[in-house]
Parts: sequence; structure tokens; C-alpha cells
Amino acid sequence: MLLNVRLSGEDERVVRGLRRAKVNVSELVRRALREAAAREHRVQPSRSVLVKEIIDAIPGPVGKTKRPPLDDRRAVAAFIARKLNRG
Amino acid sequence: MRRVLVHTGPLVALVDPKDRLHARATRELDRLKGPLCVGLPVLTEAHFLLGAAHLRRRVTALLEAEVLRLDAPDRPDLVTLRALEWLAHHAEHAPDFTDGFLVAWAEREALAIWTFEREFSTVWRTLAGKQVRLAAK
Repeated sequence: MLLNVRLSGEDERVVRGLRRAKVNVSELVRRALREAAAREHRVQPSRSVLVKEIIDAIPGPVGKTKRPPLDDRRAVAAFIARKLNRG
Repeated sequence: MRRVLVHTGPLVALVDPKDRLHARATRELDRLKGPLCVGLPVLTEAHFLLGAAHLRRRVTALLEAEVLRLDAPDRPDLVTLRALEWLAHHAEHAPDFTDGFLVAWAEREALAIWTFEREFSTVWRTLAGKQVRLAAK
């Protein structure tokens, strides 16, 4: 398979520079394609697993942080206003 | 993949397992598709609610691990003006700037918002009178 890729002026300058430096551009493209495909197929842990890992890696003190209910916008606004007034 | 704008509640709940809404936040997190974007107004608001240093550090770690992405509108000037207009329009409900900013940003770039606040489905509309698109219902 032959791959045709339209290059911008900037990309063209990059390719000319690589060729001058005796870099095999075709092999470079093949490698980039293989790496991109490998990235696509890599199994990523779910986001919640990452969150749990971060929480475990950064432990906190025992006890709850005092805070309003996060689904109550008026309580949240009042809490922030109190903090600002205190500052 | 279309981005999702993260609101303050889910962001804060995510990093604190002791919060009542943490389980909901992590459950919804895995269902959401697309990059999860945090704007500066949300990050600012979250820092007021995350008093403890370890909770703030977890937010930083989430950004570094690219679970969340720090992001801004393509035209912050226009979105900010639109947000201010939106705040004036909804003045009787006394909304926050962050709410207006998210609605204006979502409206401009056709994005969905991830929030715990009911007002986004029951009260808030875009200035064009349309419902706000929600990422998790």
C-alpha cells in the first residue's frame, strides 16, 4: 500500500531537513503509524481506578472536611461567601 | 470525541471519598465519554471547598494524570460577556458566575456539562432559550 499524505509548507521544510540529515522518512512514518496503533489498542485503566490510585497515593488525615452539600448551589455559594468575608 | 465541562460538585466529590457524593461521582465518571475539562472558574470554586491540602493535591494529580484537563473556551472574552449577560437574565435566581460561565461555554461550543446541581435541568436555559446539555442524567 502506498500512502499519499498532503504536507503543509512547514511539514515540507521538516521533511527536507530530515532528508538532508539522511533520516529515512518512510521508516519514520511507518514507526509513527505502528506507535499510534499500539497507543490506540493499549488497555487504559478506567478513570475511577486512576482516581482511586491517586487517593491512595495522597492520603489525608482522619475526619471529614467541613463542606456544604455539593448538589446545593445556595449552600455552596453561602459557604464560599463566608470564606471570602473571613479573608 | 466531544469534551465534557466538569462542574465544581463532581470535581470536589471525586477527590474526597468521605463526601456523600463521592460514589456517585466515580460511578458517573466511568460512564462519561470524551475529555473532561475543568475551567478556571470551576477550579477556583473548588479550591474554596477543598480546604485541606491533600484534597487540593489530589486535584493537581488528576490534572497531571490527564483524568481531567485544564481547559478554556476558544473565545474566553465572548464566553465571559455571554456569561455576564446570562447572569443578568437569570438574576432573580441569583446564579453564580461559574454557572453562567459553564452555560455560555457549553452553548458556544456545543458541549455538555457534568454537574450535580438540579438547576441545570430545571431552571437554567441558554440565552437562546434552549435546555443545557448534561453529560450525566
